[in-house]
Amino acid sequence: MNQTYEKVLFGFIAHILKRIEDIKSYFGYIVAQKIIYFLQEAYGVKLPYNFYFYHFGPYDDSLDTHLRIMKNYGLIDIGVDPKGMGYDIEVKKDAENYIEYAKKFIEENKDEVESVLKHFGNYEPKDLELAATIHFVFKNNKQHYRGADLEKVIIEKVQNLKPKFSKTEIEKEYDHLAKINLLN
Amino acid sequence: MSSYFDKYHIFRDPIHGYIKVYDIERDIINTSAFQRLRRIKQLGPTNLIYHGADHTRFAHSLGVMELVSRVYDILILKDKQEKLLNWDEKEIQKNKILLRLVALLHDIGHPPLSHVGEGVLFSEEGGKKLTHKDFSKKIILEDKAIKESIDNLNSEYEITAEKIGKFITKEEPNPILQPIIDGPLDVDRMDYLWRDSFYTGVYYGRFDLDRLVNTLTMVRDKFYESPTLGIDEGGVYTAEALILARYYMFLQVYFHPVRRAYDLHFTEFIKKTLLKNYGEKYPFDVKEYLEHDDASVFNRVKEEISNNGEYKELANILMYRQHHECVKGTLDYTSIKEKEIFEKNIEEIRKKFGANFLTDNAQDAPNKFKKERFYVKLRSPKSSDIKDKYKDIERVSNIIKSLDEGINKNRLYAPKNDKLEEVKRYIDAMEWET
Repeated sequence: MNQTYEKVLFGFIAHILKRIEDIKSYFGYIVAQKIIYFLQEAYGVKLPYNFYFYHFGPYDDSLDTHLRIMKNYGLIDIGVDPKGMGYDIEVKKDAENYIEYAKKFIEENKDEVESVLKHFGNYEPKDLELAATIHFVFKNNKQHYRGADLEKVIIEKVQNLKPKFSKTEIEKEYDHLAKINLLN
Repeated sequence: MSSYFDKYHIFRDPIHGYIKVYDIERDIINTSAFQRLRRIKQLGPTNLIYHGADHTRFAHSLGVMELVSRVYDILILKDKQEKLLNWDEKEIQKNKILLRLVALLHDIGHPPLSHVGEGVLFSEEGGKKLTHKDFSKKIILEDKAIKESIDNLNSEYEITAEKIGKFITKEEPNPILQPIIDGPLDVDRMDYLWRDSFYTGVYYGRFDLDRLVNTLTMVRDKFYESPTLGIDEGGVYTAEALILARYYMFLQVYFHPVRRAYDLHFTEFIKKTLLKNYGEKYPFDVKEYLEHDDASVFNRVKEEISNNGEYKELANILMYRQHHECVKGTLDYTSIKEKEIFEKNIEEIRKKFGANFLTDNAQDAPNKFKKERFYVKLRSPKSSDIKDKYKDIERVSNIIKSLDEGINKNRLYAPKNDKLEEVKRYIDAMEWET
């Protein structure tokens, strides 16, 4: 990754994290991963990640490493959340230069960022885990099933993958994603 | 009815001793697509640094298949008491076959010299950059002999080529079995660390393999209700050793400065010569893709020299070991200021001495070290509650907790020509400190 690209990418990520900060009092890796997942996979923002399925839904380990490098650079801080249950990501002042550097890319993807934050900005990590899982399973199965069959298969598969969610919860989020045209 | 496990053959392996190979697996091994792996070196051009590193993806694939069986058998044995999986005999057999075939075929899509150029040289499909795993799936689905061998298992074991392919690309998530092949404690890295360590002679890659295999267990985590792979408390030290092995092998072998110089040289050469007619990408068509192996790269190197080709100079570098020399590097964990100075100085060096310099960053190297998390099953939990019974490794191991994974070392390489000494003096005189 050359420095120009790294600066644009880290600047864009810092911008996203800053926007999440404006909405949530604290958030960690799960929220960052899922918001960036939706930006790339549902809204087509050109980012370099290859998401695969992991414990809390779609995940990319390079993104995790990039967040840690951003921490080493002093662009963000990753602390423990006040409840002591997870992480708390905080964007630092040094990120401003990077955000400025990525200005053009941020501007080009402004609408996509607004949409993701509008629909998912208020979601708790657990809700994001479910929404991103449904979207991920949908993307990987949509070619093989049609109409009502497709919905049934997706809900069944998500139930198997995430038994902690009830069928009603899965159906509700499925409907939400369909309503905002993310299940096409 | 004949069973998958009725008849087996023995392969001798320097790492694991005798490896059992069942009939259908031998049929797959005997296909030309799989035999090609004998001609793909596991560590690409690393044998130009560690001369013993001539081992291939063929041996690694067999090793992973052997290990996956050993691990799986232990997990099933332990589950007879723990009952997290609670599978019947049929399910146990089915999943064992699935894992063995995934292990055998997971690397069949590797391009020549393994990770050299991966990411730069692969085609894109619908905007998605493909990886060797996508090609593994494509080969499994499109190579008639392999597909038929696997699809024949469908009626008895519900295993199809598509299922194996999607397991490898993780398109069809399987949180119980996936981590055994691809996860923090997976058999893939167990094999490659031991094998790479053995063949390179770099001892850092070794850890107590038997202990690790025997202390793996299924666990539940407090968030995720499905069982997943973890380790008994008694295996924590060997799990630490595995993680440290990855850390040191990355710094000593996978990101070795000379090895990386050859990765960069070979990538450039392959793009400009071998793949010239394919738009500098490996062909998407499986038949054409499978024609490429390490030998085709080296034949092209020789041809370029004998034909006095356009890229003869680059071919000479590869043939006569005239790689660019690493003339400057940052620390393993580069600070933002250090990186800025590094980039600014490189610009100045290029302006003064020409553009024929190469740069590299640890994040672009293969087998990057990443700190991953898994659960430890405590020997004497204070209660039988999930949150007391299983603990995050970072709460059990201070060594793992203290590791920082964001290695982002940067390097500058200069050509070995009559200007090299002058370049070095110039670099020495520059200001690099923050």
